[in-house]
Amino acid sequence: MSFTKDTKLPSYEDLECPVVNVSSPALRAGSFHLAKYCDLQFKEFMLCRQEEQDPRKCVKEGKDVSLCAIDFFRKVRDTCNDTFTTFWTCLDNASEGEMGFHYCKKEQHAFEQCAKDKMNLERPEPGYFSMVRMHDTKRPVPSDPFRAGSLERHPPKLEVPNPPTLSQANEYPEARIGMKFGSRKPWVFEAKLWD
Amino acid sequence: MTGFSKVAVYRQELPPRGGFTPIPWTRVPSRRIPLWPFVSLWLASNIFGYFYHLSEKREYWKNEMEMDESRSCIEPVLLAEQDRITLRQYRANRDEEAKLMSDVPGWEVGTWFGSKIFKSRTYFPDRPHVLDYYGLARPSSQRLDINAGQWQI
Repeated sequence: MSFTKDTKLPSYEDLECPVVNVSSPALRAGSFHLAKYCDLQFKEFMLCRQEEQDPRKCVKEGKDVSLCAIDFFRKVRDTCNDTFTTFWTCLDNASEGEMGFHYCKKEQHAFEQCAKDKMNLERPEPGYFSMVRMHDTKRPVPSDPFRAGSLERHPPKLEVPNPPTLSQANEYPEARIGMKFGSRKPWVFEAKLWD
Repeated sequence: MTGFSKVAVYRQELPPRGGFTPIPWTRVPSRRIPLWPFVSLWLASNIFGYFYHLSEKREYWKNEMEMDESRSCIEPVLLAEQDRITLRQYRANRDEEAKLMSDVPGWEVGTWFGSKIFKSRTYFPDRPHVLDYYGLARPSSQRLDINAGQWQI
């Protein structure tokens, strides 16, 4: 509602992309192997999202993510379909709709074994995805690098000049008088700072 | 007095033959059961239970971590799709608003009769905002949109 004619929204053609047509228990079942398979694309997309904080600028990376996910599930369907199906149906039937993994350990081990044998995909250790991961990209740094990683979503860009260098600061009246960049006793001498 | 020729027949309540049974008058202390088996059992259950509880906690948090990790693994897929859906909807909303308010004098799309919402610099919402997405929708379609409950906000 707050988008004027001036805001650039991507067109319908730019947003065309095949949908990852997979239900939620199947997504949860294949989540670890999916993140291992599509690691690069996922990291690119999430980095772009965090740095730019603008979905319009990350449409291409999002498309890569979706295509890679579709590719992964197609591969699973071609090789490991049976174990995967038993696993996600078991998760679907877990109590209270939690889809908790501790109800389906056997099926999980069977699927992991199949993935290791046929798809050469090893699931990383249990604590891997909680840790901070580094990513190296060729993508250029966003326009406002001071915004990257800040908790404030859109910190204001203040029109202030650069702070003075130390040599410049030695000529300021504060330095000549005795107050320079925050001393403990600011009013050391009684003198006129500015006229 | 005269006339006591008949004797009344009665039955007297007498002690039984051989006398009464003896009355127990000595002290009889209560039955006692030993306390040490119960105390030792309780202490043993405490000790073993503590270590078992620690292992169970570890197992519980391992399972919780696994679930959280799987959710964060899936997040990029859902976020990409969500972004595309919202961008498509924003575009449709803007076009619809232009169509609706084309005959209202003084109205510019995205503003309140010309005065902009964000005055100094443009702002694009990072995550889907209710008003931007549902701005021109009827309430029944808001309730029917189940997938919006799964959006990463």
